[in-house]
Amino acid sequence: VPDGGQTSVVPAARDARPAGVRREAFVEPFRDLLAQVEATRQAALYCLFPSIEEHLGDGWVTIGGRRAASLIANDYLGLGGDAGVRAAAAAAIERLGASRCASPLVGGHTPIHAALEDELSAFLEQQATVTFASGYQANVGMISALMRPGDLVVTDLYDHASILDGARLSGAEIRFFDHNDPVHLGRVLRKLDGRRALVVVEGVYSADGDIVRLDEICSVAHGLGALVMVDEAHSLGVLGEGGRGAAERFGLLGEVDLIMGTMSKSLGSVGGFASGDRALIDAIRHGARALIFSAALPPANAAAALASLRALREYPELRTRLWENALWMRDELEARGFDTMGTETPVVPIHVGDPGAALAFATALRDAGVLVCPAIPPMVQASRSRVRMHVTAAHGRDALEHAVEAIAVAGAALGIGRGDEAAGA
Amino acid sequence: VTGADADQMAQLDEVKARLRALVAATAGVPAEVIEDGSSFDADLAMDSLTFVSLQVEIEKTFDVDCSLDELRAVEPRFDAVARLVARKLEEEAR
Repeated sequence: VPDGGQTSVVPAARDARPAGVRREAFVEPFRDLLAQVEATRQAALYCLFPSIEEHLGDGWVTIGGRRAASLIANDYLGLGGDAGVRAAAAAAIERLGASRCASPLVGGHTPIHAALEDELSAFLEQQATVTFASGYQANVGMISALMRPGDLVVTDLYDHASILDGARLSGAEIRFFDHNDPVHLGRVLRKLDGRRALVVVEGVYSADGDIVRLDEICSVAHGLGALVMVDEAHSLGVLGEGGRGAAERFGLLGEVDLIMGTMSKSLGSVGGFASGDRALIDAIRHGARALIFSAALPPANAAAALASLRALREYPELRTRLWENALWMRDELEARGFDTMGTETPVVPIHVGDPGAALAFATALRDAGVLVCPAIPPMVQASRSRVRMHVTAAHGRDALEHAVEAIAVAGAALGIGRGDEAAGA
Repeated sequence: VTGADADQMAQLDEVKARLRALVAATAGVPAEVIEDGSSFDADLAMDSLTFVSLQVEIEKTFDVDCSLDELRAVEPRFDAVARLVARKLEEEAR
């Protein structure tokens, strides 16, 4: 019985450890990274792991007891805070508890998961879908289940870490092709020598906010006998006439071999999924270790994603508003001399070019009541360091105007944007 | 020095000139600071993503097959990578 912390189970003496045990040796590989973290803390520039205290709506949150415009969530359609989505999650908790505390294989699956999988399949015009507890697990699970040593996984240079981790875990050979370059992809695939190959691309690349050249990439890959998997994490609900992602935008829903998606972006929840032919999905369902050796997506998250998917289908005006907000933000920033790195989507970066300056920019903005994501190594190359924003349908114009004003002030103070040009950089 | 040796040296010099420009652009450093013995990590502070970008750029610029594993197998030094690229070019020419 818990005793409210009356009895401590933590040993008091930290040095009372078996002789010969050196915990320091396990920290050693992180020495440089942790030194950088410490330096940013000393300089009061540490802005990672921001702790959001309250969701206020219209793009505002509370952090450190203060109101701030939030541009850090991937909640593109603003459904994460929607009353109907919250009610669906609450009802699922009432019916099934906070978690089924089991792998989907043996008890974590519920009728809500089944409905979500069926409706995702129908929406994406695929035969079957399987859900995972996170998007990271979906990529790792799908790729490591399907690919084996001797196979070839070909990834775009800017593909997400979860794609690379899945490829590494599979034991297959990994080759990179230059970002969004079908010609280089063709060169990499030229020496396939009859091996099985999977080309993995993203619908929208979260680093620069650009869109995959899916038609050319599919044509090259299929022409050389490779399968194509599209990670629609940042494109589902954003691209295509019906919000079905990059595959719909290019008219290739029937052509791509596998669709991966997340529920933690346009579907306002958390989780990941794989959609495709029944046989492929059944193989993943029974063979993906990231699925069967993990507790299932909690029912509340499945219910929230299902309610969001229905809203995505029923209210195309959410997507209209998303794009109005995204284009307004991009144009306002460019008008003030900021380099938005050619973004084509609601992912809006501002190029900074130096990791320390990117952290300083993000911290200054946080202090001014605007939350943005600093993107520095290992997320991006040092010379491509930037701050990144996710504009959503939920943002009120007041939140975006506040953000633009703060960005202009902090940019001028730090020599980023127009100030940078004036300095002759 | 035979004619073949001289040809090889001339080719290595040409590879170095093109590779130097490539490394400078990829790592974001002036070409002048890149010497034969420059280490990619210690001297040029290349992070892992920059190294992968360099691998892709080498393939595209020189039109050779050069996987990340092959690039990692040589010392991460400018002259060692230049020799690898020159060897790849020779193999492709055969």
